[in-house]
Amino acid sequence: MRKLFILSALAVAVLFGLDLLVGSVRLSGLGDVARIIVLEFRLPKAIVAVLAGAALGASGLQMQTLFRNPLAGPYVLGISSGASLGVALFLLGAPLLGISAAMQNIGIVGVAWIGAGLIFLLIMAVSQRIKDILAILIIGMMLGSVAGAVVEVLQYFSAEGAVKSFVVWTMGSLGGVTTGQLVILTPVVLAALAGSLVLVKPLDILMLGEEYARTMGVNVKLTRALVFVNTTLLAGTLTAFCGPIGFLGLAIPHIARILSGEASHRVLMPASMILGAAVMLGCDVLSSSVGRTPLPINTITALVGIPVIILVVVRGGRKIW
Amino acid sequence: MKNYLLIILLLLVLGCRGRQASEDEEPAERIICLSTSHVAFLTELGEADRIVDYQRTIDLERILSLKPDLVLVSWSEEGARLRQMGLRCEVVEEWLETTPLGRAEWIVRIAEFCGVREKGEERFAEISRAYNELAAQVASRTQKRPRVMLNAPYRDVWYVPGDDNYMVRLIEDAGGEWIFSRPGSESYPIDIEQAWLAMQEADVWLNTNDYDSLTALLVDNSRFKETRPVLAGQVFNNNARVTPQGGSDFWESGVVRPDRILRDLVQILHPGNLASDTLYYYRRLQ
Repeated sequence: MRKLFILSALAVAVLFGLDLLVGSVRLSGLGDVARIIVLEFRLPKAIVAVLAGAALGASGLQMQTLFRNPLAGPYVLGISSGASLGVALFLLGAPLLGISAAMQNIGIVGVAWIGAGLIFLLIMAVSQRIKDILAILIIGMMLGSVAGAVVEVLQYFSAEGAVKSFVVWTMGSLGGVTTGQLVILTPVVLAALAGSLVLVKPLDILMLGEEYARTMGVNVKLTRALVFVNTTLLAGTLTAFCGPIGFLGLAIPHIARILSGEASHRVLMPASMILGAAVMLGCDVLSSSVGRTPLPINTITALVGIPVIILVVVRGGRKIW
Repeated sequence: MKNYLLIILLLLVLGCRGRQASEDEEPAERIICLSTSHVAFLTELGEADRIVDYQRTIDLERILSLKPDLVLVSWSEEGARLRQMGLRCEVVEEWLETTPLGRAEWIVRIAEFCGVREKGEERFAEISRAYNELAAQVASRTQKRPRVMLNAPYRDVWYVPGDDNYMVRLIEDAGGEWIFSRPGSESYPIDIEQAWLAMQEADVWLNTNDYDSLTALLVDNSRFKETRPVLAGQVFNNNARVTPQGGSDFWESGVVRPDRILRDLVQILHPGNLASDTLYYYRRLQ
């Protein structure tokens, strides 16, 4: 187990360094300018990649446990779409409301939390009545599609410039995060990650069933509420600033399960965070090194995440679950 | 009975042919525009009262109910459905032209539709004379060509035009140098790092998307605070005039009046060379 942590931490370090070196501008012979490019452009991007990967891993794992569903994740359950809807309302509506640019960052993250939280609550309410895993997933996708449809209506009636900035936002990007946004993103994500680590013990007990958890003295309602707050903060903040990043939230906890062979959150939670950071950095290095301009990060995460998800489905989910 | 049908059929065929033949000559009195540039052409001609509607996206039922005698479309397929309904459609492809005057020249074609070809030719001759005279004047005087950076990023993607783009032509005719030279007319995305590197060499930064203040532009792009055009206060956007539809007039009347755009650019790139110094489409971002 220790080996897994050491190796994946090493991978994070190596990929972090690589992420600083790879980009569309060749650094050799640029002198002082190279320093600025690394510090102002690549370093923030690499930090965002680490935070985003860890956040996706942790939020995916908590959703899978909460819904007792190996295929749960912020993207498939429509929670990212809820955040997207909030952001769309804000980005396309802000010019009309005359919201100042300085207020935008707080506004965007606020509406993303609300959007993500509302969809999450809906899914939780539905899952109280319907116990079928697949039905929940389908309802999540439906809710995601509804949010998507509303977004399309908004786009239809919006000015061209606003639409373009929204479309680019939906492609996801790590490098578009500004300093002002990083100041919000970092503490919120770190706090929610710390919160996730605190919850490992009740989450372990919750895995054995709510009845059992109750007899063990776990406050099930409180645990669920905390998981809700954690995941909404993680998924909402991330979606607000990086766009909806698909499939990694679902895939990373499974990579952690396969590599560790463990089911305990004590191992899975930190492992999902570290592996998430490594995978996200890897995706960013790939995106920056293929082609003249970086590819949208969403295309890479889909190509990386979906094979893992298919593997989980083919293996029946249960063996690793 | 059969004879009646035959006669009706004959009349119909003749009727249609008659309509078809006369349509080419008959000036259009009720015009529907599907692009704001079409509106601009007609306005410049003083024929704006022929416009019965402008639609951003085709509303077929509304078009039929307005009984237009001409619908202006931007590309052929856009009018396919309308032609099926028996409406007269003309394609106005000014946006495909790679030179500013090439775009403006479509005013002659539009004038033709209204039966005022001479008027269109006159206006175009005036516009192109003004443009060419100013360009020649600049070319003879200019020694140093300020380097120009264009556009602003959407998050970390920055779209820039190729050398054959009409904006690049305008910059060159105004005595400037487009900093990100690459063959072709299409716009393509560059990474924000590349854009930042280019900006280190730039003297002037133009066309900053939708931003109407330097503060807003720099809140979203704080890494560009220390670049040369920003420090020198040489950041200009082309959205000084906003149309009732909420778009920038630069992309509407500017299509017909490249001479006015050129005048703006000359004032920005070579201040003090012209008699007046008021900008029309552009404004300095504060």
